[in-house]
Amino acid sequence: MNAKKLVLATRSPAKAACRVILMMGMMPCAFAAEEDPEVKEQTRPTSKIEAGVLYNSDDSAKAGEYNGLNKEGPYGIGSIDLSGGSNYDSDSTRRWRVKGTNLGLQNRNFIGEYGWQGKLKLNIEYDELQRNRSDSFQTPYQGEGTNNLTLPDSWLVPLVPRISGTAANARGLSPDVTDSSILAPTLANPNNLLAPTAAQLAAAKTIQNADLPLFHNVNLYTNRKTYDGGFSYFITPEWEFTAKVTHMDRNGYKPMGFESKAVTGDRVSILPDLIDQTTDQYNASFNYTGEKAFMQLGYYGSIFSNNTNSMRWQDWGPSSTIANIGISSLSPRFDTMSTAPDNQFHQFNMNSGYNFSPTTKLVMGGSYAQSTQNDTFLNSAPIVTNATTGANYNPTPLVPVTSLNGLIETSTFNLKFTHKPTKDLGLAFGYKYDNRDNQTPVNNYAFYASDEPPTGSANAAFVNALRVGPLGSNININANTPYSKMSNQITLNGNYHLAKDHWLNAGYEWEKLDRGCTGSWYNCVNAPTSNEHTGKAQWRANWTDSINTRIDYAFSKRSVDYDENSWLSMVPMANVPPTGAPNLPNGQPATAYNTMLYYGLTGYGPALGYNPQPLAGSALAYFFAGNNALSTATYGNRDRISELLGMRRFNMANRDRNKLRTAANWQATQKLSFQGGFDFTNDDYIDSTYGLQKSREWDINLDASYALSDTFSANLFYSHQNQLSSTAGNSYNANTNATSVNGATALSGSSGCNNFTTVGQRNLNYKIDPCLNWLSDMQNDVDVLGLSLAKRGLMGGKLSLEGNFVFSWAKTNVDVTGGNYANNPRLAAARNPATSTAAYFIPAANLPSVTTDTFDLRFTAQYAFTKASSIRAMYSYMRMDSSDYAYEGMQPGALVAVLPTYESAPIYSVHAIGLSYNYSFQ
Amino acid sequence: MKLLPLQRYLLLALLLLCTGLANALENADAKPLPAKPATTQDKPDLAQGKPDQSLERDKVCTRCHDETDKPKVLPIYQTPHGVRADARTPSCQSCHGDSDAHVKNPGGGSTRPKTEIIFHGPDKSSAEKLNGTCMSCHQAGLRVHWNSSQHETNGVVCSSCHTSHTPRDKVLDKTTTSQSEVCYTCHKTQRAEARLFSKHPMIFAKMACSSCHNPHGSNGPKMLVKNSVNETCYTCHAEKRGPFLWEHQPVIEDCSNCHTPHGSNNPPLLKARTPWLCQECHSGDHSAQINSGANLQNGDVTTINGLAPLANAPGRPQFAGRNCMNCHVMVHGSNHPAGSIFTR
Repeated sequence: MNAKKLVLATRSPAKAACRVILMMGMMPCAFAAEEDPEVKEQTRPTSKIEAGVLYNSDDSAKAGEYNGLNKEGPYGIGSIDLSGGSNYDSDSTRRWRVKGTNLGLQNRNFIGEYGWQGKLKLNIEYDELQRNRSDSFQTPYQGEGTNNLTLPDSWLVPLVPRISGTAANARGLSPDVTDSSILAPTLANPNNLLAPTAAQLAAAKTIQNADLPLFHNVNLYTNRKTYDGGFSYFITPEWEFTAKVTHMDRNGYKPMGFESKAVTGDRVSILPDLIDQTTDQYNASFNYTGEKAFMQLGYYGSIFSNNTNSMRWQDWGPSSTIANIGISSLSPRFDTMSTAPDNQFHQFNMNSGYNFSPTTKLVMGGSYAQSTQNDTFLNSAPIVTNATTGANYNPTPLVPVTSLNGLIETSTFNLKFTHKPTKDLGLAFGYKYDNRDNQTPVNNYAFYASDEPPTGSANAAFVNALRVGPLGSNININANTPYSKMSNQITLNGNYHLAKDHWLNAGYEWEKLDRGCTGSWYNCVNAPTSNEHTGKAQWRANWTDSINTRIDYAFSKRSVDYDENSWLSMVPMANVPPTGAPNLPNGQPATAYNTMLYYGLTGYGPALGYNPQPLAGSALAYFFAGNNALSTATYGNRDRISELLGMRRFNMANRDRNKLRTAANWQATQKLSFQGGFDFTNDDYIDSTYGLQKSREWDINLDASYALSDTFSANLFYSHQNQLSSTAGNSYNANTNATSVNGATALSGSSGCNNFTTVGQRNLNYKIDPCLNWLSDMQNDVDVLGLSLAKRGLMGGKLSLEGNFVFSWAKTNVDVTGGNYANNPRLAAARNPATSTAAYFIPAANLPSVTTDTFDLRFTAQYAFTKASSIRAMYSYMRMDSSDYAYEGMQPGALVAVLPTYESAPIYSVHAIGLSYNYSFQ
Repeated sequence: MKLLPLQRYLLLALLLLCTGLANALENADAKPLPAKPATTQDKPDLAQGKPDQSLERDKVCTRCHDETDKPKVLPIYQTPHGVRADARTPSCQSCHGDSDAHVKNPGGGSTRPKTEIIFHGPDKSSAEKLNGTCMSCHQAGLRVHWNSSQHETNGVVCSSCHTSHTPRDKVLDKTTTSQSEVCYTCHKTQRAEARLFSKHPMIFAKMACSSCHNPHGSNGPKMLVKNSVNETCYTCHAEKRGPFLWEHQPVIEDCSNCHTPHGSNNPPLLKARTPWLCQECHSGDHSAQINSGANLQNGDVTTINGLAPLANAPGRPQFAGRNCMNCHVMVHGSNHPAGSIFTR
């Protein structure tokens, strides 16, 4: 300790008296060399320790989603904040700090800092975050915590025996379904209901008794543990070097759908996907700060490792056709799902700036990065037995390389020049370049979707082109599309101090995006080029000392040349003439692509009904039979991936955007203030016939603050948010010349949108039926109301109280117009009277509201025994009531192909009460 | 696991750093580095590594603004601004100006003239003056892009968010909700969104606004800490980075095409609910199908206007439960040879 302590000037009477005594040469004063206690209290850091206990009243994953309080029971409260080092007036700049928060919970944090200010600083940090996703998830699978999920040996394949004794059906887990009658219409009795037989009931009961007890709860959560260490060191006053290493471990489970088509139909299990990942990040930089110039040269590296390279799960259905009702063999079939591959990102960056003068500055920077990934592809073999034919097949017959050899080079450059030609005018010019150059090789792959067994035969030309086969007609022959994107952006901005307390700002921005895939045989993106122009203006004003306002407006226009056929890039066989395809009228061999080009069509094909038929034997008839969409067999893909004519992907579509922001502040009195704001954004996708049509959001925010005194304050706030997005689509079907359904021909219910009275008329125009247009309007409404009160200095200054109350109400409504056709279920298998209704058109209905209402109350009281010692009592109450129709689909009996998970919308009402002792010292 | 070449270089670099660090630690307790010679007129009052002289300058002000002042000013000595042995440390006059008229009160009136630079209150100095005061020392590092940034353009000044005279500047505290509370004084929509059903852990103090944003300006959009939205997101969500064999175009372009990071009623942080979110772009095969209340479990389509009994009326897997995500799970990209439609 420095014996000669410098002290700040103080008006302390005792100190002043001492100075007088000293000046008079009288005996030395006791205070001369000691720091005033009040000064010391303010100039020396205060350390704090808190220890206590908290009790949480209920289990709830959602209530404890991030705060570590997901279980009922006691928890330790612990926090420390210790600081020290040399005094402010000493010759040393040594400082240190140790801080820990929530030490008794799974969201604890610990920080340590030590160093000499202006010279060297070391820091470490440990942070833990547990995110609790769900405590209502159930599964019959065993093996959670591993990447191999199996069913118990006692599992019986669920069936609904009344419907079928051989087809796997997850609805068989619900007695409501298995015990109810099914419709079995006859000519004599269209309403004929057949109750399950005793044997069918018994079989269903056997399955339910075996399977339902196997469902057990698995808490879904993700836990992150982050370890941080770094330092900064001043080599010279101008040059500083900093470095930091961060290691993060991420573990847990998240729910994921696992689909298999290996046996007849689709089967899905929603399973706890194992998360076992690490991410290591490295930061280092040299920083130069001069009088006029500054520069930063840096490196950032990120290495992601996934210790789970695949997930393997057992099919819940049979491995073959079920022979006997109710007793079915557990499938030995396993399927394999990929996981996120290991990847690395390494970036070198530079930022620099130069002040030409106090009013002129140039900032420039750039970066170069490489992103790589080269994990060995999952082997979808071993060869799988085709349940129908008994033959073996390989679900991925063509995998030309063993790994991706993925490489993305990202380079950026930015420049900003600012200048104030006058004291009232500021100008800025900016340019940004960002290029994501994906150099991942393009290859062709062939696979059966979700391990589906091959059926039929693929076109011989495709088999020959790939030199692998035989292939089923349901093969997918796809090429990967490594996306690249380059952005060039220019911004101009002017800021003008119009008059005292009035400012105007105006700006213009232009951004050009170029997109593509190196190596693709066809343009891989819908909008290879897009241009967006933005103009903006702002007016800020201080009307009086107590009232200020701000209003901003911006308009943006984005224009693209949209290519509706970019999907072709994924299907290389669209450029191969199929065996049997007739030549085009110009004599060229017809490929799917050539044919579309020749006729000026997209994959949607002619916007026509069944008639007039394309000329028999023509390329048009071959590729667009019945005037329908391009036949998927002609391009070697199982499913149609071409889009509706007029569909626009919103991120690459023409768009007009209007954006308005306003804010006002009023300091009504010294104690009372008000704030308000209104924001509005509207996006119009002006040329999108289908897809996102419009997106709109507006927000209102109101605040009031009242500070009655230094010891009492109150804040009240209210926010309302409304978001709307409108999406249009069309559920078109294939034109046919079928005229009846089991003999019935009448069509009912569609007179409001078409003039068809028979299914024959509908079928002839199924592709262009206006009744199949639909529109969904999704609206989110959110209200948040908050109140906080704080009162200090009660009971002679010893007691402080604080309360926070927040209410929120959120609702999502989806209103849908349009409709569906559904065949009449009350038709007999054949020979129904022609006048019978074959199908109904059923109008769309709105969705039930998705609601989330929450109430959050926190109350603390702190009583100080002494300046150093206090106790703190806290109480919190959290409540959530939510409803979401989506959970209905997760219950038994909902879906044929998806096992239930029993998840439910979170509803909780949780109290927590705690008491802690606090000690502070210097 | 065999180290890749790059990993070897990184390890070597780390070893070199540790060696340098050890050397630095040995020399750390040496005298602090001298300040650069105060050759510029705008920084004449720096501590220059001489605590005694620096405090003599402060005494001009602390003679009156002492421990009894309200609000308290002396806690600045607990902060980095108060470390007098650091050559760069400012004196009171560095930030508030020499303010001779305020100090001497030549008129002798009961109301003193104001200081030259005033940070709060109705007589607050201009934004240019206030920011220029702070930027005279703090212009590099995170503040490189301050000029013409969104905050600077909107008249935000350093002292709008930062406090210098409190023991801790609460906007620098990322372990409590202090920082976000400062940001919410203006960004109230984000304050509301932080309480929605699906959210980042902002109100639980596990993330702060500066986890993603640099409020001083940046090269990225919306003042993000990295060059792009995706680069910022990948700092915590590196499993989404790829590159993947099968990429999902809107994902690699911009995470915010589908996600709204501040909070949403549609988990996980989605702008819109599925399946309609997916149908904003997809109309191939079954993705073209209408999805409405009539397609729900007991809806009119499922029950065919009530004609089909329960056993004959299953839900549609593309719509019920997790809808598209029942099967198409690898939406951020798939590295499986059979994953082009993200089911593997």
